[in-house]
This record gives sequence, C-alpha cells and structure tokens, in this order.
Amino acid sequence: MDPISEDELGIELLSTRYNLSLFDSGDPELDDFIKNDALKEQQELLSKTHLCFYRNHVAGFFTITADSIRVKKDRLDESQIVEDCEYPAYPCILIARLAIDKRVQKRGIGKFLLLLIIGFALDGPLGCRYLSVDPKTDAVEYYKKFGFNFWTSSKRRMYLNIRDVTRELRPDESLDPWIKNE
Amino acid sequence: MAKPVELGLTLEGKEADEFLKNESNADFTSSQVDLFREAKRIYRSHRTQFKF
Repeated sequence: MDPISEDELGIELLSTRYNLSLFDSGDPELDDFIKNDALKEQQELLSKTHLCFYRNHVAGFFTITADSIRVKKDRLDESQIVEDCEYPAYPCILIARLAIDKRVQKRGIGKFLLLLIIGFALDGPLGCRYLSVDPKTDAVEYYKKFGFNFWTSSKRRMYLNIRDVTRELRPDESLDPWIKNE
Repeated sequence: MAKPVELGLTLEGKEADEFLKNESNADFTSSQVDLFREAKRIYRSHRTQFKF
C-alpha cells in the first residue's frame, strides 16, 4: 500500500461531533477506549485525545497527558539541581494511547502522529524533559526506531530524553524569520 | 472502562540508579536525528490544529 501524504491528513481535538462507531484498530482495548472513555477522560481534564482524519474518516488517534517522573535518591543527580534549586521530579508527557484504523495501517499515519507528538514535546510551549510510553509488546521495536528505550530493567515504561534530542538539534536553524541564527 | 494509565511514577533504589545512568547515556543515530528534525517540521506545520 502506498504511503499517505501528510497533506491529506487533518488533526482535530476529540469532541462529541465525531462518529467513532466505525473505528477499528484491531485492538479491542484501544477501540473501547476511543469509543467509550476518551471523551470522559478529556472532559475531566485527565488527558486529551486528537483524531487524525483521512478523507473525512477517522484514521487514527492519540491521547496524551501531563505526567512527571520522581526519582528517589539520597543525593540528587546534578541535572536535578539548577542554581541550588532541587528538582526531584522531572516533567514529562505521557503518550497514553495511539492507534490507527486497520484499513489504513502501515501507510505512515502512525509515524506522522508520533512525530507530531515528538515535535510538540520539542517545540511546543511546555517544559518537558521526557516523552514516555507504555507500549504494547508488539510496538516496542517501533518505538525504538524513534529513540525510545527502557531505562530500567523492570521495563515498566519507555522514555525519550527530550533534553538530549534538543542538544542534538541545536545546530538546526530557526524557522522563525525574526530570529537570527548565529 | 479502560485501564487507567499510571501517572506520577516514582523510581526508587535500583530503578532510580538505572534511570539516571541510562538517561544520561542516550545516544541517537543519524537517522533518528533526521526523524527529530522532521518531527519539528511536522509540528510547526500542524501546530494550529493541535489543541492543548
């Protein structure tokens, strides 16, 4: 199947106006979430879900939420101390769910949505040290391609260090026309 | 109701040590760096559709 161009995709915040009854990712848990729980979670401000449209149909969705990671140590890591102020918890964005309708799977929509989230973490208005995800077992290798890794042997969660990504991209020139790059 | 995601993870002991060791050893391939550049471009192209 040919990849779908990002120009053909639209993103909208989940609301009551969308019909999700036909969405079928092939994963009953994810389908149940988008049809029955995502809007309730959003109304309670526990998470926000964005829908991805392709030819006026819901082709996929992702749900993200603000999170933090607390690292308990006797002595803080030096990266947790800024100008003598201690930060025992790190800000984080958790990718709570991401799914693609099986009729358009393997056509680049999942990659597009994941890059959109990474771009939001990198370039959005939030201070965010990590992106994290609890992937399904069959998605672990997919997330690794994008730099996510398990950092603990318990393999509870995968992380992407946004600070280090930002350092890698530092030579990248600004796209803002009024900022002059050195 | 779907299983709620676990928020506010606290890492202690061995897990905290592993986390701090590995988070400072992140190493990216050139193709991953290219993906991150693409991620910034995609976000900038679509950020008006992104509501938070």
